Amino acid sequence: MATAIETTPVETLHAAPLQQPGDITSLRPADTTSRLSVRDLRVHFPTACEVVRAVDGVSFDLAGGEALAVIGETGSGKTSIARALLGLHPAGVTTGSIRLAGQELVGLPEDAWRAVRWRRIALAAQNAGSAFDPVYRIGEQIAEPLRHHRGLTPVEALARAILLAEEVGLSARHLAAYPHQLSGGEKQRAMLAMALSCQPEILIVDEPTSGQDMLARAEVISLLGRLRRERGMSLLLISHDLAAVAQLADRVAVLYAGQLVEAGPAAGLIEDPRHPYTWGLRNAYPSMTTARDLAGIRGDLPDPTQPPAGCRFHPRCTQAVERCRLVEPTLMPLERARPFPRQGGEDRWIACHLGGLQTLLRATDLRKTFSTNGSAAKVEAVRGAGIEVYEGEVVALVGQTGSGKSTLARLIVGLEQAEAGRVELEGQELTALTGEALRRARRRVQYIAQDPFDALSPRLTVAEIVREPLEIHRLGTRAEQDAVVRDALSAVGLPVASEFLARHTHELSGGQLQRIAIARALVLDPKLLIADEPVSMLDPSEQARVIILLKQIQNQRGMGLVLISHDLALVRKVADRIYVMRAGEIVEWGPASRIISRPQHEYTGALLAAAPAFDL
Amino acid sequence: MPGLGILTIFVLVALLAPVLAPYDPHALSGQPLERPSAAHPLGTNDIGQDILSELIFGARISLIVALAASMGTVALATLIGAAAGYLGGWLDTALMRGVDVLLALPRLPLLILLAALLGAGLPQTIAIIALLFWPAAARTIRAQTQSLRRRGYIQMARQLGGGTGYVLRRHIVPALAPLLAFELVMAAGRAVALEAGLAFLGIGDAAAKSWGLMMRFALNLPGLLLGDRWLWWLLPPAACLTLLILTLTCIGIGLEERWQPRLKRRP
Amino acid sequence: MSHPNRPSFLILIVIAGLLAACAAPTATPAPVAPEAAPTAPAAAPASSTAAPAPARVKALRLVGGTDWGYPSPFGFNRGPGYTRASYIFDTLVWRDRFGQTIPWLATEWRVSDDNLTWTFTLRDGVKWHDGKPLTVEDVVFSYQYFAKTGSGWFMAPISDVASVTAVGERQVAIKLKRPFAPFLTTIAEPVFIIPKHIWEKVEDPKKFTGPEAVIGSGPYKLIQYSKAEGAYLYEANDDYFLGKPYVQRLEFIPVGDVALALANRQIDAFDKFGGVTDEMLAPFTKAPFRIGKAPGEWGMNLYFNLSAQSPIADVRVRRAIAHTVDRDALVARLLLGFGEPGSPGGLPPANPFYNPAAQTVYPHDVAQAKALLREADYAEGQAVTINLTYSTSDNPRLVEMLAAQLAEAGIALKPVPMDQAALDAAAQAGNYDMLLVGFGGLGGDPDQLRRNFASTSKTVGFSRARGYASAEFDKLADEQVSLLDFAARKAALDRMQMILAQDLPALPLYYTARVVVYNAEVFDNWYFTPGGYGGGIPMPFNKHQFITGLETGLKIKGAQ
Ligand code: SF4
Repeated sequence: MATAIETTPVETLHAAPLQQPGDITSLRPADTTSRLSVRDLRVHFPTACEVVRAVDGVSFDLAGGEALAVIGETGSGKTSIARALLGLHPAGVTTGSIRLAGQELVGLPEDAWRAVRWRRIALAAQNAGSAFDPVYRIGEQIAEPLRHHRGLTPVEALARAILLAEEVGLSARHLAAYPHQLSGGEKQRAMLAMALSCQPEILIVDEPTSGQDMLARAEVISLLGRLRRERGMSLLLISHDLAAVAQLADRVAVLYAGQLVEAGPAAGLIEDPRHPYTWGLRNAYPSMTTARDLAGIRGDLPDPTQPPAGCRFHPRCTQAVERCRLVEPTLMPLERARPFPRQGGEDRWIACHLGGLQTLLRATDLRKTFSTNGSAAKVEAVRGAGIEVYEGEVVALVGQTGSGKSTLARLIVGLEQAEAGRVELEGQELTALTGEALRRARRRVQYIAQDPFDALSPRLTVAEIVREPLEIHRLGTRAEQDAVVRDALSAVGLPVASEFLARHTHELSGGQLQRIAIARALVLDPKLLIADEPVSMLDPSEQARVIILLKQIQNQRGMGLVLISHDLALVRKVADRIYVMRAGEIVEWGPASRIISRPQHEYTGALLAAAPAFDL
Repeated sequence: MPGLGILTIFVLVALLAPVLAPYDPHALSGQPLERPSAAHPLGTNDIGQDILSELIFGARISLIVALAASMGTVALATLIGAAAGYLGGWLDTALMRGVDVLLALPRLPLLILLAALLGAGLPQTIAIIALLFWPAAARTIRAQTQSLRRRGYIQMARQLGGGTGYVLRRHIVPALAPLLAFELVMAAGRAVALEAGLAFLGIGDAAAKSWGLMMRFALNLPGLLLGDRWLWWLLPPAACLTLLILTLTCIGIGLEERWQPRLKRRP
Repeated sequence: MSHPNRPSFLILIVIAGLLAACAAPTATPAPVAPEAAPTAPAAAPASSTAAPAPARVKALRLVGGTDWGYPSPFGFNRGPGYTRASYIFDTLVWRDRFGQTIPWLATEWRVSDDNLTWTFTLRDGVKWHDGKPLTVEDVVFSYQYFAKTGSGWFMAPISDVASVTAVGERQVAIKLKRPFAPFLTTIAEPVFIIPKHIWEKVEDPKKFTGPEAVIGSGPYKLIQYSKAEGAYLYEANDDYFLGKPYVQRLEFIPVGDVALALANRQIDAFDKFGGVTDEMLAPFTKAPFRIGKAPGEWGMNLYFNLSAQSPIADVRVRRAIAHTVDRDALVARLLLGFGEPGSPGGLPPANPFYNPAAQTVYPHDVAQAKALLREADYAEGQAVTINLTYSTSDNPRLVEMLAAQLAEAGIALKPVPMDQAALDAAAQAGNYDMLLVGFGGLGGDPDQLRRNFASTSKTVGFSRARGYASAEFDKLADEQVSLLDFAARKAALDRMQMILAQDLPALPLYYTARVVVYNAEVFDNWYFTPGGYGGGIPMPFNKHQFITGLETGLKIKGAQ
C-alpha cells in the first residue's frame, strides 16, 4: 500500500514533461490583456553570511480590473512581493521579470521607477498608523503625493484630496485631524485615499483588514470592492484574511516560504482547497461563524535562509512522500499535477507532487441491511451512504442514534461486510485487496469503539492490549514494541509505569480505558482514525478532555480523523468538515463553518437547534 | 476443594500402583475365588487374581481414560465448536447440523457400532468415548464462542487483521478456558462412567484391569449376590467408580460456579 | 445453555451400565449367534383358558435372553436354536434319558441285511399344527428337500442318503450309499420332518420366515419370538400324537443373574457348562431345589488354519503350543475344576469311543515347547506372533489365560475379537490363523471326527477344520462309518484320534461339565441326554422330558 502510494505519483509526474518555473506564461493561459506579468520573481537579501530568500521564483499575471489575492502566513514573502512591485528593494535584490503593460520594471533605475511608483502602481501599506507623519494633518499628507507626482498646486491638491477623502468615506473633519486623532479604520481609509491619489492602474493593498475590529473590517472590504468597480483598476490584495479575500478577490495565489503553492479562482479555492497548505491555512483560520478554535498546521514556517529541499512544505505536510523531500514541485494546472485526475480543476494551479491534498478515504454508495432476528423484516441501516476524508482533516459524521452512522463506520473499517459500494483508502479499493495487502491497508485505518469496556479484552493487561496491533502485524522486536507502546501511552497522557502496564481493564476508569483504546489505535501509526462516539460513555468533563486529546493527536500526527457523534455541539469545535446522516443516507455535507452557519437541510437545522451550548 | 483432595488420592494410587499393589494384577497369585485372607485382603477373582491389586491398578485405567478421553472430547469439541462459532456461515450450519444428528442418534447402538468399527482396546475405548461426547460439548463451546465473537475486543482483533488462528489462540480459547476446564472435568466424569459401562457390555479390552471389567466378571459369577462374595469383589470397584465420578462431578460443579458468574459479569 | 442435570445423568449412566451388564448374556458356553433372523410371527392369542389336566406343569420358565434365530427348520442357529426348533418339528426317531433311540414319528424300523436300506413305519394319525395329516409323502419330501438345499443341514450327513421312497401308505424306505453306522443317531434322529404342502412352494428356505415356517407336527407351537430379547414362548400342542404334553407352556425369558433368578423363583431352572463350584451351588442343595450333573460333551477348541500363512502351518509350532497350554490349569481356573481337559484326539471322555492315549500326547512342558520352536527355526527369545480370532461372547478370561501361558514359550497372541456371528462366518470361510471355537455334540456319534477333519468331508460349518489332509486319517474315517461292529469301529477311531493328536489340526482345550439346577416343585424330570439329543446336543432341554414328564417311554406322566 505504502509503496504504491509512493511510486504512482512519481511515475505519473515523469510521464508528463517537467516544466521549468519560467515556462509558465500565464496563470490564465489565454489572457492577453494582462496588465502586470510577473515571472520567476526572486527577492534575495544578502546578509552577513547568508541569503534570505524572501521570494523564490514567483510568477503570476494580473489582468486589468482583476483582483488577485496573495495569501500566506506572516513571513511567507507577501510583503516582499509588494515591495518588489514598487521597486522598493535595493538594487540587485530583486531578480526575474516584472512587466507592466509590456515594460520590464526589474533593473529600472530609480528615476524610471518614480514614473511607475504611485502613478501606475500604488501601495496601501499594511501598517496604516505608522505610514503617516504624526506632525502633519491627514489632509496635507494625502495632498502631498498629488503635488509631488502630479505637480498640482497646493489648493488643487487639497481640493483633490477632499474628493478622494469623500471617495473613501472620510469627511473634511478627518482631513484636518492629526493621525493620532483618527481611528485605525479612518487611518486605513486615509491611506487608501493617498494611494489612489495618482490614479494608479494597479493598487496593492497590504493586509487591509489586519488589526481592525469587525465593523471597520467590513467597511474596508466594501470600500475596496466599490473602489475597484468604480475605478476599474487592478487590485493586488495581500492578506491572510480569508474572509476578506473570499469577498474581494477574483483569484487567489497562495504563497508559502517564498513560493506559490496553489492558485485559482477565489471561491473554489477557499471552499475547496487543494494544496495541503491551503487546506491547513483555511482550517487554521478563525472564523466568526464557526466555533472552531483548535485547528492549525503543525510546525512553523521554515527559516528563509535555509529553506528545506524538495517541497518546502514537506516538513509540515501530513502526506509527504520521499519524493517531496528530494524534488521541488512546480506549479502546474491541477489536472496535470494530480495522479488521479478529477473534475473541477480547470483554473486551478498547484505545486504538489501528489496533485494536492490526498483523499485518504473515499467510501461511496455503501449499503447494509440487517435482518431482525426471527422475523423477515429487514432494516436498511445504510442506504448508499459514503464519506470522503482528506489528508489530515477532521471529519465529523453526525446524526441521531439509529441513523446508521456507526454501521457506516463499521463498514468502512471492515467490521461489517457491505452489500454494495466501494471503500477506497489512499486510492486503493479495499474490497479488491486480500491477504497481506489487505492487512497492510487495514493498518492505515484504526477504529476506536464507543464502549472501551467491550472493545478491550478483560483478560489482557494494559501493555498487552496496546501492543496487540503490533503483535498481530508482527512489527518490530519486543523491545521496539514496548517503546511504541510507551510512546502511545504517553501520547494519550497515561502513565507508563510498569505497575500501570500490568493492570487489567476492570482496574481502570472509563476515561482511562478510552485513552488506552486511543493509544492502541495509535501504535500502528495510522493515517486515519475513526472514532465511533468515543466519549459518549464518559462523564462531561472527561468528554471534553478526550475530544481535545483526539484533536491534539490528530494534529500532531497529521492523521485524518473521523469523529462519529450524535452531538453536533461536541464536534463543531474540532471538525473541518461535517457529514450529516439520517436514516442511512448522507443528507448534507460541507465545511464545518458552512454547515454550522448555513445548514441547508432541515434535519441539520434540527440537530443544530437541539445541540446544547458546549464549551471546551 | 475437597474434590481435589480425593482426586489427588486417586492419582497417587494410580501412580504408585506397582508399589501399593501386593501382586501383579494379572498374576494367578491364588486359587480362584479365594475369600479374603492376609495374603489376599480382598480375596481372589474367578481365575485366582488378587482383587486388591486389580482394584489398585484399575485406578490407572479409569484415570487414563478420564484424562485422555476428556482431553480428546474437549479438543475435538473445541476444534469444532470454536470453529463453527467463530467462523460461522455455512461451516457453522454444516457442523451444527452434524452435531444435531449425532446428538439425536441413540447412544447405545452408536456405541456398539463404534466398538465394532474400532475394535477393542484402551485407545479404542478412549476414542469411542471422545467420539460420543464431543457433540454436546461442542454445542456449548460454540454458543460461548458465538457470544464471544460478538464482543468488541474480538471484533477489533479481527479487524486489525488478526487471523483465525491468532484470535482463537489469543482471545477465544483463553476466554473459553473456564468453560473448557468445566467441560474437561465433566467429560472426565462421564468418561469414567462410560468406560465402566463399556466394560459391562463387554465392549473394550477384556484383559484390561479396569473397575468396570471387575464388576462385569463379578456379576458374571452366577449367584454372586446370593452369598457374601460381592462384598469384596463387586462393592470395592463399584464404590471406587462412584466416588471418582462424584469427585469429578463436584469439581466440575465448582468450576461451573466459577465461570458462569463471569459470563454474567457484564451486561 | 442447558446442561443435563449432571448428578442424575451420571447415576443414569451407572445404572444403564449395570442394567446392561445384567442383561448381557451370562457365560453360558454355547455362544451367541445372532444372524439375520426373521421377524416374530403374529402372536397367536394364548388360549390359557383351556384348563390343563391338574397333574400337568402349567408353565416352565427357562433362561432366555440370547437370540438363537427363528425356530424354523432353516432359521435357527447352533444347538440351542435346534432345541427351540425341535419343540415344533419332529423326527423319525428320538432319544430318551438313557440315550436309547426311541420311536417317534416312526413306530418301528428295520435295516436290510446289506445294511443299506432302512425301512420306517410311520405312526398313525399324526397331524400338522394346521390340521392336515402327516403322511409318508411328507417324510419323502423332507429328506429330498434337505438333500436338495445343501449337504450340510445342521451337519447331518444327509449326503450319504442315496434315495428315499414311500413303501405303501405307511412305510418309507431310506437307501444309503454305503453301510452307515451312525445312521439312526446322525440322520434319522436329527432330520426334521416338514410339511410338504407348505415347503414344496418355498424356493429359498432361508428367507421363508412367516408363521407357516413354524408349522410342524411337534408337541409345541410357537406363540411368541423376540429376536431383540432372545425370548421364545411356546404353548403345548394338545392334539399331539402322544397326548397333551406334560409341560403345557415353555418360556425362554431374559434374566440377569440366573442363580439369583432361580433363587427368587423368577425362573424354574438354569443350566451351566463349567465354572461352577460347590459354594455357588450351596444355596440350591436344599428343597425345593435340586441339582443334576453330567460330564462334558461341550468343548472349547483351538483351531489351527493350516492353509493360512502363519507360523502355525508348521506342526512343530502347533505341538509347541499344545505343550505350552496348560489345559489342567484352564479347567482349574476357567471352569473352577468343573470339567475336564481337552483331548488332542478330539473326543471327550464322555464319548464311548474316547481314546485316553490321545489325552497324554502333550503334557504341559514349556521346555519341550521351546525346543520345538527352536527346531522350527525360531531362535530363542524370538517372538512368535499369531493372530487369535475369538468371540466376544466367549469367556474373555480364556484369552487372558491363553495369552499368559503362551507368553511363557515366547509365543505372542494378537487378539482378533469378533461377535459370534462374525466368528462363525470367519470360521466357515477359513478367515483366521488361530480360532477359539466352542461347540457341543462331542458325546454323540464319533463320526463327527470324519465330518470335521477328513479332507473328503463335505460338511460346512464352524467346526470344520481348514487345510488339514491326512491320507491315513481320510481312509480310516471313511471306513469306520460302515463298521457296524463296535470294537472294530472303536479300533479305527482310536487310531484316528491318535492321528489327530499327532497332526494337531485343532487342540481341544477343555470340556465343560454340565449342571442343571432346578426347582423340583415346579418340574422334577430334568436330565442330560447321554450323547446328546438331535444328533448330540448336550443340553438338558430334551423335549421328551417336557412332553412325558418321565425319563423314558412314550407314556405321559399322570395320563390314563
Ligand atoms: S505532498 Fe509533497 S509536494 Fe505536496 S505539499 Fe505535501 S510535501 Fe509538498
